[in-house]
Amino acid sequence: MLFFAFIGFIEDLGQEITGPAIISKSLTGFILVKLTHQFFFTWSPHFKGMIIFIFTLLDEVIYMLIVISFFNINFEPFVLSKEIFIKALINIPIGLFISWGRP
Amino acid sequence: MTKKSSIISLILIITCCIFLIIYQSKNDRILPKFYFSQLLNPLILIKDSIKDFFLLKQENAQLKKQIFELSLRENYYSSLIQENKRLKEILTLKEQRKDIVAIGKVISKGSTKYLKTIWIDKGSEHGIKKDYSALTPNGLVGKVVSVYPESSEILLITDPNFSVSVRIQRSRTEGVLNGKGDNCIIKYIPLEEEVLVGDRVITSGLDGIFPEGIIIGAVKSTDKRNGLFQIIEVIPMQPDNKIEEVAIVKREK
Repeated sequence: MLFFAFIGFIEDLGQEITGPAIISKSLTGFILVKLTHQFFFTWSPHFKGMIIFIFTLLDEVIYMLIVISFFNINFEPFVLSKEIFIKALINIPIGLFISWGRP
Repeated sequence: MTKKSSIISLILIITCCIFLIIYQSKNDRILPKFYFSQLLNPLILIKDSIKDFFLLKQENAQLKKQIFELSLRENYYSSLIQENKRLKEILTLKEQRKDIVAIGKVISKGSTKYLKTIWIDKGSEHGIKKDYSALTPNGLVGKVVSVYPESSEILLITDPNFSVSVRIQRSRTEGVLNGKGDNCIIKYIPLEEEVLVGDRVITSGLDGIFPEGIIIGAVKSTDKRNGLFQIIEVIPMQPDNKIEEVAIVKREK
């Protein structure tokens, strides 16, 4: 949990606001850990890729919701969706590479 | 970490962060923005230095080439300005003298090493004949000694074979001027005639070749020690090595 919070903190350092990435990373990490402990999933590369894609989307959505809610920052929905989607796609190969050989 | 403790720590983290976020939304940010790209600064600096080195080298070569081209162009423009000035002067001379038959450009120096002559690009086709006088705006240059259809040879006043009947402008004393290599000398002026250094020497027109009143030079020195006549050294107004265009004047009838 602390590891995810730390990753979020590092991401927040690059932004001006401290907190949103910590929350999003902690929540996503928590759900991910819970999911990986379920033995009924077969962790094939395709499934892993899908999970990485979905969790990146989840992480970004949480982050954006916090920022939009608390700081009244407006975003163009289409541009924002496109950015998040592309980010999630890019994360698939990176995530697969990092988790290579792990269950 | 047990399941319960992890949920507690998650709630704790989220709660703390929400407080932080609420605080930041109403006040200033807690932590300043950190630019991760700063961590790569030394590498970027090295990369930029190498890139700059090659760019500067290339730029330096280009600038050197440009300087060379500009200096060539400047020299060309400078020579054009000088030529323009000379041509203007010679045109003024042509307007003043109605007896000018042609204006020629000097194309080469003398045909033999013993004669001090110059060649011009105008000849008999342009109305030039033998014994016509050659002038510049500064004064007499010489006389035409040989003529071809498209060129002529001019014997300079400093050649020892050259002679012209002259007069001291101030005192109207007459003499004969001969070339002496670099300068000229005037002969046959009696010892009692007063000739001063700096006196102007002009053609007298008595020889029937050169028109009267053309300036030749100025007296440099006088020598009264030998014989019955003075020997007067004259510096030509027009130096031999600076003749570029000459005007050819008809012979006196």
